[in-house]
Amino acid sequence: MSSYDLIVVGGGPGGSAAAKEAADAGLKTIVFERGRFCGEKNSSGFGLSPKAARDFEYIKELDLPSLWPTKFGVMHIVQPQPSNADRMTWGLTPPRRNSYPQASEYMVQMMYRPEFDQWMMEKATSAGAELKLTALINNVIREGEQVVGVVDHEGHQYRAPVVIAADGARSLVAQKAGLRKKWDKDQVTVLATLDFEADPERIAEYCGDTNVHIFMGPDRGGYVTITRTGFHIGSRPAKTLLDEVDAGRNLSSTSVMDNARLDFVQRLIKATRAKPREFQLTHLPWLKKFNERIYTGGLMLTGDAAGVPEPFMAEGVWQAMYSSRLAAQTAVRAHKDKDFSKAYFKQYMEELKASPVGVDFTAGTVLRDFFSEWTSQTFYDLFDNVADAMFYGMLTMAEPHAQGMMRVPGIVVDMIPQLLFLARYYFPITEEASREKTANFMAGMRAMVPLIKSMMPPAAGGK
Amino acid sequence: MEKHPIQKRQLVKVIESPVDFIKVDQQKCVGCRNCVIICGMNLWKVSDGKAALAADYRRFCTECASCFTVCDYDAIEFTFPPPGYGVVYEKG
Repeated sequence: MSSYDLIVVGGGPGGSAAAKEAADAGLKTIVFERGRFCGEKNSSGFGLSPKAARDFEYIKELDLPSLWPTKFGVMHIVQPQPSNADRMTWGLTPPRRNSYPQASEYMVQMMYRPEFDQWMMEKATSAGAELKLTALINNVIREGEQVVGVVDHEGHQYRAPVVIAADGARSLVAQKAGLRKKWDKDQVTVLATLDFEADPERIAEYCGDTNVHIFMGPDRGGYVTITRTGFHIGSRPAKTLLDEVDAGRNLSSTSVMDNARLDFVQRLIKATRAKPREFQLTHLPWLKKFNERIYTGGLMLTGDAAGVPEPFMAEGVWQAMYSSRLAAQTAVRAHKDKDFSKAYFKQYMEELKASPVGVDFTAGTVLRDFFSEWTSQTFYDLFDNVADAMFYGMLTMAEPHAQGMMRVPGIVVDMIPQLLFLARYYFPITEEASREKTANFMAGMRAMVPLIKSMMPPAAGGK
Repeated sequence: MEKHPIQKRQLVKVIESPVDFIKVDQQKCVGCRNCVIICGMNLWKVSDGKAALAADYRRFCTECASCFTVCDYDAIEFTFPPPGYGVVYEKG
């Protein structure tokens, strides 16, 4: 039997972030990964958000063959099936109004998971952590309620006063430690991705600065994420497994094939001489509420195992890194205080809940429901009307401009149900962020009513 | 029709596990079809009122564990293939 200060289960970005943090602090750390290399079992249309560079100094050094920061992203509103054409598109650079520099430099950084996961693990091993590949941890060692180690698939035992389980959505450690039997159907979604290999030179020529496309339409949606060396077409994480089972079909994994038929995707495939290379299915936790059952004596869950992917678009890698580092910091403190009890590790859960990871769940229910609505008819109608108001109203070349402008107020009236629909989600979400600011905003709007009335031009022929 | 229809099964790289890693408890299964609906690789069917896995599921399963999650009767046991086997994502 081998003994360590800290055992990390799972060699994804979470496991690596935890192991690096702990090894840097001098803990004797081992990481177990069931793949033959880190990232072998992980997939997604992977974009690392600028939050990672803000919070992890070493992410600023990230340099990988496929790495491509997104300086320009395109949103497509796609027509209802069976059409594959866009109704409208718009592209944009990262926003000007930001709280830190990286957020204005790129939206996300696109790359392939095996490259990133191995780069992350290299950070951990060069800090002194030991890595054991092709090792599946399928049980824990318990003394009473206390977790004191793990058991691998060959029955070898490893002991440590602290175990960090970053072993993914289907966490065997969480199950064996009695923290959870399995996720509820309403807490999980499945994401299908189709990877294409493409000519890097043609990608650079055809895409320019544009390497992310998000698209939605009535009952359809997804994304295309492009790296320097290929691209992913993804389905939308807009339905939970419960929705899918209730509807009697699995739209997440079938819609990805429909997405490949979209006109703009077909143009991309042809222009870059792309060929389908890999089909991927990922199971990911998509919770509405922050999961508090993420610790017990000697054990902390992090990343997907803890259910931390955010409730809106289900981003999970930064959340995994953040939660795992916090767990490692707690483990370091626990060693100093010589306390590995369940009561002690409660502070990890409480700190995570109060952190940006946890705060994203305060409006979780509304956020997730709102995201599900992105593929509704109402959402489509909103953009359909916007397009009409702008292009058939203001910019029309089909008839005199004055006549086109006459149409705008009518279109705006048509949009009232859709604007109310937006407001239904907007206010609950912002209210969770700051009740005070929302109340001030509403009071300000009310105070402005007399002012706006006084500014209205007099009606033609009036005083 | 498309010139090059995309075949999911040709695009998954799986090193076939020598042992089973999904098991169905025939006593518990009620044939509700949740697993049939949810499997993105179409590896399940219901025959004689019980769920049954395709004989070659170890060649195509991507280990997403959706079948395990949607089973309301705890009839599906899902572990993982032994290390070195199972799905390989080179471009995940």
